Amino acid sequence: MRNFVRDERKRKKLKQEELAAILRVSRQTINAIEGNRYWPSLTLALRLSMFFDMTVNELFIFEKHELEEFKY
Amino acid sequence: MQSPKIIFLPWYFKVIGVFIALFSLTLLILKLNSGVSILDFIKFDTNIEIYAIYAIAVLGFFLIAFSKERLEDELVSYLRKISLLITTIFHSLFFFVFTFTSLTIHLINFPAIILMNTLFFIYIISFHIQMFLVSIKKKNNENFE
Repeated sequence: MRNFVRDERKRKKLKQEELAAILRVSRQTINAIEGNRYWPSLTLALRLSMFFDMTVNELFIFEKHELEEFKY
Repeated sequence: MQSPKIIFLPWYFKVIGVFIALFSLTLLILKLNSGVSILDFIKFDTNIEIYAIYAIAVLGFFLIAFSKERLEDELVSYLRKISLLITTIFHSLFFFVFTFTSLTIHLINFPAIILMNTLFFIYIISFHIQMFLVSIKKKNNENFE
């Protein structure tokens, strides 16, 4: 899974610290999410997508092989 | 289902824990070098048992481990879970290696055996109680549908 949190944050001209303060999480959390080292909880994913005015599906996407694996 | 909220001590207990751990370390050094003249200067009771020193250290480590971070968010909770898992695995490995290697020299550490037994027993009980509670909640939800 990958996400567009870094792209969207940069589009809004925010620093990691600023986004973290808005979402009331640590800067390390934002850094870990952006680096794909941590998958946020559904709550935080929803909050992120609400903040960036996107859907969760647009902000977090599966890799190609995952799409094939989870195809129903 | 929401993840369970575990109550941690306020973050400043971590500082207290560090002081207690350093205090016990100092005691340990003084105890191990009990012939040093500085002991006469501070008039400290050097007859204190080495187990008591370790127990003081355990209190310090407990405070450090169970104090909140300044910003306790979901990443911290996740890292705590991972750390707890790693701790349990390493502790079990050390336990098995040291217990079974010491069997031959008749130095079995019974407190450690009791600790490991209670650790896993409480884990199993806690896990199954939570599984049971989750299944009850699920059944109730099904009744509403």
